Amino acid sequence: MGSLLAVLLAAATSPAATASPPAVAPVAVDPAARVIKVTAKKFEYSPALIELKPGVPVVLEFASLDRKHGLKSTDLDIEVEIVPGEVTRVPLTPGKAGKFTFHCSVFCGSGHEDMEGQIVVAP
Amino acid sequence: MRSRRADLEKDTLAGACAELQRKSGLGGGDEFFFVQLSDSHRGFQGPPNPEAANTLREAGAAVNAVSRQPDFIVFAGDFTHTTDDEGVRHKRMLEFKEVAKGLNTKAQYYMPGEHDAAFKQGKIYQEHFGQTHYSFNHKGIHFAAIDNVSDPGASIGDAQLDWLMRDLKPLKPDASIVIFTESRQVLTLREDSLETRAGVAATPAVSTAY
Repeated sequence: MGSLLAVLLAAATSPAATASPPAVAPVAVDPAARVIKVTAKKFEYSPALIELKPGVPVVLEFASLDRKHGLKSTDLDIEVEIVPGEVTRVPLTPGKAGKFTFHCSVFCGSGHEDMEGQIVVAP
Repeated sequence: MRSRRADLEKDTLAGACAELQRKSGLGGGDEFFFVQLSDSHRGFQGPPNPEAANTLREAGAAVNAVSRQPDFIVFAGDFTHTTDDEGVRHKRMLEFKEVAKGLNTKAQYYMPGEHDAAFKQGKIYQEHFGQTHYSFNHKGIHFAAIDNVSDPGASIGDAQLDWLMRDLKPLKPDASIVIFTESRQVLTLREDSLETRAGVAATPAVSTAY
């Protein structure tokens, strides 16, 4: 075979509710877990910085303000879609301290690549 | 925090051209090289690429200037920057095609990036560039272009996965395969399986390159 040379130039969700508050899907969570609400819109999360403590359970509750977005963190093994009219709940108990980035995993337009945030886990 | 856009920045054009010139002088016989051009983002304005209107033309001129031309050129996605305006989208794609016509290498393969095709699931892209997934053979190597961007969530879908399985099945166990995808985070080729968001499916026992 000849050589080959390449040169480079170069969750859980629920059905939407129209006129009522977003529905919340049943997800098994620690009832004592703190709920952290996070909104997504072109091209930002709010808050974009989420501070957690190791071993302390929380529930991340995501909602979109405009269109479908996603959230993916490879380090924390999280990948969910965030759909308008729905609430996506992610139970999370950080196992170790560190800084973990997340980003939008559903292409949402010019600026999508900059839609990201960070979860900081510290004692 | 380092931005993801910064992580996606490509090598400088000057460096790439030097590498291209060096590799174009290598080999003979069955040896060959091809050029992959991507992320020209025609229509983009501002940092980190204030020259988006000119970069493709400059890259094309650099390729044309190489003494030995590549066997083919792959345009590997995001050659236009996304817009919600259909008219502007058409215009950017037409402009891109005009620049591509100026390349001396006429064997050209196109595949979409999310900026080209996530809007309306690739409909406008296909009007200009045709199918979004396909395969071809060149000098003993099997090349396949996979579309994992027409779905904004980066799924390749069952139909395309079925096509890919059928495409790979006839290949010999020691076949050499090159897969082109725009989005790196979805498709993982392993020695004995192909993993996508749609699940894991068995593949022929082929060696793979990615």
